[in-house]
Amino acid sequence: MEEKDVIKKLEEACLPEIDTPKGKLSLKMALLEKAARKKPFWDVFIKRYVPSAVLAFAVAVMTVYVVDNMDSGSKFNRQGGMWSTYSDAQEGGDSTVWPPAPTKSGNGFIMSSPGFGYAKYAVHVTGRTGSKFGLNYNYLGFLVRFSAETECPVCKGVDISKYTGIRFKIKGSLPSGKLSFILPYESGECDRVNVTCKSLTEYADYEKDITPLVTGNWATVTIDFRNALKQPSWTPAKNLVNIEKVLQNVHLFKWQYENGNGSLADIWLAQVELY
Amino acid sequence: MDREIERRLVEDAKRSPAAFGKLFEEYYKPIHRYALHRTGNAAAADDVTAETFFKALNKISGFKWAGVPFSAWLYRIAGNEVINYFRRGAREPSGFELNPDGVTQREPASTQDMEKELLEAQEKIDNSAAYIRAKEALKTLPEKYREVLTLRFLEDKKIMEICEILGKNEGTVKSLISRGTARLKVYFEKDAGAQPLPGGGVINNESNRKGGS
Repeated sequence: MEEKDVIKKLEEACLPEIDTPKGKLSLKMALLEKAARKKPFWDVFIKRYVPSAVLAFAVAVMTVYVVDNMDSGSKFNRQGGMWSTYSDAQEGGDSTVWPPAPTKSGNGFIMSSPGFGYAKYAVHVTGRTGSKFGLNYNYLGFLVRFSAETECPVCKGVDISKYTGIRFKIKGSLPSGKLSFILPYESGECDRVNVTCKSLTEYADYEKDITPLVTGNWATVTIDFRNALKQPSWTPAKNLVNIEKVLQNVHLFKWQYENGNGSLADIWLAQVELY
Repeated sequence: MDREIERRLVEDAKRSPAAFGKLFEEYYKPIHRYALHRTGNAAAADDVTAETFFKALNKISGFKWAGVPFSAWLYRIAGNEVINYFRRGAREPSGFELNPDGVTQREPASTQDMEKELLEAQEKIDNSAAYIRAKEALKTLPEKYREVLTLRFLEDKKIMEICEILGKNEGTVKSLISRGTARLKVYFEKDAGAQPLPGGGVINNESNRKGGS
């Protein structure tokens, strides 16, 4: 068999015309109805975020927990939780990230200047997602462990269920792709091969797409854990978990960038706190 | 569609439902066909198409022109939805998308009519022997090859169009096509050499010959 025979087989496999006019009409009506109800982006944005920001301010007087304000320029937060980057390169992919992801010889994460407002430092991560693994399987990101004990080998989760959400400052440039905030759900067991605490959801973790909020200017992102975070639509039933259980067993926070098609992602992050 | 016209239509669609309706009319058929070729399941193709357009509607305000046409963006969303479909274990379609109030967004006027339509569509797919054979063969390949070979040979897309859809460069796309075709060649050769056994298994002529010599 020649290659051209294979191509011929594929070309012959082209399906005949298959029309589903009723399905099409039904879908069109539903879409138009939704489009008519859809509010402009800024309207949705203001309604969604301003009230939570106002509420957050009120609650802040009572309970605010600083995860890291980056004042020391150290890759450790006050509780000893370490910042680091990661990418699909650790699984053989071709995404790149800077600062470099940890290797056996150590964690090369560094803070960058300037920070937000009067702060001297901020997290600054750049990188490009590759194409080796195809759509939805290319990624890079950065994370901060909540404290030293939430890392391997201890992997002890922390209960943050008394907090409403998380907020942080962010700015950057994302020509394409998607940046998500992720609240992972990990076990108390350390995966000694990959030196990380084992995922309890097979990485189908609660997340929030924050791409539209990343612009050239610093902006505050406020995420209500219970209302804004969702597990991905592809989460298998066995990995669905109540958000309260996740909040009672937090090990880290992640920011993950995917499907950038090789364009340069440039992300700055500062003043991470729970409210 | 002319790119400049498409560009203006997309800008209008960010504010106007009617303009989005025009885009839907333009691209429903190719996206639905792509979903049919990828899934081989009429109901799943309907589901993938619906999810694709709902996602496009939700995200159109953030769509930026960066040299990639709107249609490529739609194909990319559809490709992701196909992956989601297979991730769900290629079960029955997930059903109509729920809006934040939990109300279904698609309310078929006549469920029976639509079911009949789907059954007829599925019959056409199942009766296309060449497609079924190709689908079985493609199923043995990793996703990256399935995607690119479907676009090239079943969808008859040009290399540059595939580059735009997948966000990959020309060399990568050509290489994927070449490697994917080579893998299929091996599959078809093996398949041609396999004979059914009475118990339902197969015996491979090639290995049989070797074993008997």
